[in-house]
Amino acid sequence: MSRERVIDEVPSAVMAFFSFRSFRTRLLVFLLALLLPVLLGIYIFVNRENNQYTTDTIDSYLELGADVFDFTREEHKNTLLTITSTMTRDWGFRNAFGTGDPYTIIDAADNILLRSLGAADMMLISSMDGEVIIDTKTQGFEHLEGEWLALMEAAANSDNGIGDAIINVLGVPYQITVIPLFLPTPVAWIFGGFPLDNDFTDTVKQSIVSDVSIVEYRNGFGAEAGASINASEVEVIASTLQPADQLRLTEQLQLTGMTYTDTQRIVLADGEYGTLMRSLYGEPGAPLQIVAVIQKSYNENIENLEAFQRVLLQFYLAVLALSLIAVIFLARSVTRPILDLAIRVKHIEEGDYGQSVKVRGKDEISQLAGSVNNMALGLAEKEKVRDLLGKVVSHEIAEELLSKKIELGGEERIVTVLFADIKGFTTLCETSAPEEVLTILNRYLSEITKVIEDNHGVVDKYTGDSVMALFGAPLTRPNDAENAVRAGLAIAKCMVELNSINRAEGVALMEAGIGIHTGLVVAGNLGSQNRLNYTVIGDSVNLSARLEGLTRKYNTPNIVSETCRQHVPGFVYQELDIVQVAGKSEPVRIYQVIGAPEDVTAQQQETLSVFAQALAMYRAQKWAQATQLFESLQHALPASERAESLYSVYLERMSYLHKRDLPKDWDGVFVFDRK
Amino acid sequence: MTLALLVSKTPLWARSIACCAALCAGFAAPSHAAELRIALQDADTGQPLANAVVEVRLPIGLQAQFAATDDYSVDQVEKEFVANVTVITVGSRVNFPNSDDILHHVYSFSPAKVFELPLYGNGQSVNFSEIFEQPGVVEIGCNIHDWMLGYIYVAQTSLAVKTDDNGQALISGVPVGEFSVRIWHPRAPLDSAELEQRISFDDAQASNLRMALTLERDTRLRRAPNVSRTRYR
Repeated sequence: MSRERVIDEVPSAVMAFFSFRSFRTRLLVFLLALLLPVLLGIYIFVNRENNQYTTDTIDSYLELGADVFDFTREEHKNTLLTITSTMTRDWGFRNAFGTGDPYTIIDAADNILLRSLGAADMMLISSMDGEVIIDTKTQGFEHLEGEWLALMEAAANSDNGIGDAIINVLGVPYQITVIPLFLPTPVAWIFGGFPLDNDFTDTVKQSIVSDVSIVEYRNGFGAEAGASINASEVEVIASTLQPADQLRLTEQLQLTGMTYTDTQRIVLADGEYGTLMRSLYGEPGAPLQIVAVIQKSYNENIENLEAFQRVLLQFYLAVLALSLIAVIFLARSVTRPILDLAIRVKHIEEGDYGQSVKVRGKDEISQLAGSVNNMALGLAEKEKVRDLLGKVVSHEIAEELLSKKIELGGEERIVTVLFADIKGFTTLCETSAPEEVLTILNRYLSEITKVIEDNHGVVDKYTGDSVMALFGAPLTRPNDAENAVRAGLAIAKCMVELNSINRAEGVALMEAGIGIHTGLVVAGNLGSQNRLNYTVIGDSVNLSARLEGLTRKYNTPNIVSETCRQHVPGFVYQELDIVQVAGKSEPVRIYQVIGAPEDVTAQQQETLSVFAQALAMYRAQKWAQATQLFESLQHALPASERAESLYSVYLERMSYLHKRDLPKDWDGVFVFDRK
Repeated sequence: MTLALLVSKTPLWARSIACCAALCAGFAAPSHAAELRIALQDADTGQPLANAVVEVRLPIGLQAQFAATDDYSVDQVEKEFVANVTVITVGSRVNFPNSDDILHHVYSFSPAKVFELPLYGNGQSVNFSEIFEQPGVVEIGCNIHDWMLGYIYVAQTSLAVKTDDNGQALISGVPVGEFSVRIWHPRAPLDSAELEQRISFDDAQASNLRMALTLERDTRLRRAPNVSRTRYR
């Protein structure tokens, strides 16, 4: 249960997140959702490539620097060899050496160093066995030892008797070369050397535009990874760096086996540097190691990188700004027609089909706008039709017609049909102008129609001065017959009011004759396929019309059939007669509805009672008693009404009947053989 | 044949003087003379070893009988010393003619004989001779041409020979007895024990010295590629 709720809530929350108040926001969000990852991706990619490029560039600088360092050292070494080789074969030097006098030889050696213009800094001469003959650095050993001895042996074992090595001379790494002294056979080893000092690093720096340092590691420092730094074990022998940076270099540089191939990053005063080492002295892990370190700053490349990033960001801002503007315009181009459409639809909803939406372009929205316009036109037309229909036919029929598929044919149902006819209309036509007649007629018909509709009746049609109204079609109500009777009474009442207006205007007074009958009819669309009426047909309709016509005969305002009276028993009725109307074989008992019991006065009740006695006498063919009763009733009427009253109808009929021999089975049914 | 070869390489007049001296000595010393037949090889290649010097080192008392000075000549041809190895007896004079059309500057800083013959040309050789008073090996070079290297083996007595191209040599007229025999080669270490042997000599049959020498690396300077160039070429 709760799980379902959760499941149900999640999508709604998601939907709520993605439901935007405006299309523009949605478009913006989607654009940003698309654009930002792409821009971010490009940025990351470019940044990574640039970083890689910078790294590669620095690495290649360092490789190049290390190679140039080696090359420069090699060149210096060759120069040294050239010097020692050439100078020692000088006759003067040979002579000096030939003397065997160390002081002379050392002066000759110093002389050579002078002549080398600084390319050679020290000279050591030993016998072929390694006995030191002279040493310009006076290192204090009489026989070659350590590195010196190893170098001599290496040279002795080489093809050309030449060798070189880096040897620590009084704390300074020296590039040393050795070559035999030929006199004319090899008689001595001539060692020459130059220091790898600041002058040398300066020279290299001029070539490689990178900083160069020569660092010495003592006591096997760095043999173990992560060895702690002991300042006394690391010393910068020569460097193009500032002293403070030299200290940073020794603090950060790691000396491991890998350091000769991999770039190390260290931080100096003015930023990050890449460093690459070259071993000058000592195997990795040896107690004493001297390395050359090439340093190249990342600054220049990082500055380039930052400049590029700035340009990229500016470009991104421009792209975003342009995109936003584009989105706003796009959104506006979409939302404005939609808003127009929305307003338009709102108007249509309110029943204003007037102003049409402007249709721009041929896109979907334009198509929609066109459709809305067409729909509005259609609705307007329909409304017009409905309006007209409501005027031409009654509102209910119009609804019935509009709500159902219109087709010919109908259904049987019990309907109370009311006919109302305006008596005295013919007289009016004779005395008044046609326009006036129409005005008055419309006034009456309007009022009658209103009364009918107030009582839930439906005006079926107007026929000249008469109105046909239906109760129970097209809509059935439980009290259709009662509504019809009430409508009939109300029409009579409204005639009184209209007549008061007529009297004021000096127009002839009018009365209404009303016939009401309840019976089976066929209700439906009548006519042809192209033109039809919703109406009811059947005997009941005819009878109802006849009853209306009979009101003239009986001088009553209304006549109600017995069927109708049975449907509406709650009123006071006056039985009028039993008649057989034209076209009908069955006699029909007819009544006049007097009104609701509470509206009937005691005098009226008395009159009705007397009339009932008179009618009974009449039917019993007791003409004298009947005549007496009818006359008494007639005398109660005002003089103006006596000539044309219900009673006069019977009095006249009896004056005719008592002269005749009535059949034995006379049942009192009065036959109307004409309409 | 070997003897003939040996004789042909030694000045005839010097040889006859030596023979006379030997004959004279023969009267005072053991009457019969023995001889040493030498055949040397390069131990590494197995090839005959030429230019090796073998000297029978006599006790001081016997040396006087075999002292025979002579005049020698080490020529300079095509910027090389010819012969490359010259065996002389102490007190002999060596002349250094110059057969090339350029000047040479012959020198030696060897302890046995330090000398210098500063730049001189063809035809001046007469004045450029030296007397070698000390026994030993004198390495001679040219200050102009560093690769030029020659050896003068100054022997104590005349009982010293140089092996021929077949690595063979013959020392005859050796007194009977047991003496030290020393072998020397430019690329053989001087202090090697096997190069000093004691050999018995008797007149019944010739003594033989057959050895394979292990030579040191040749450390001499290489001749430059353009050394065959001459002034007019």
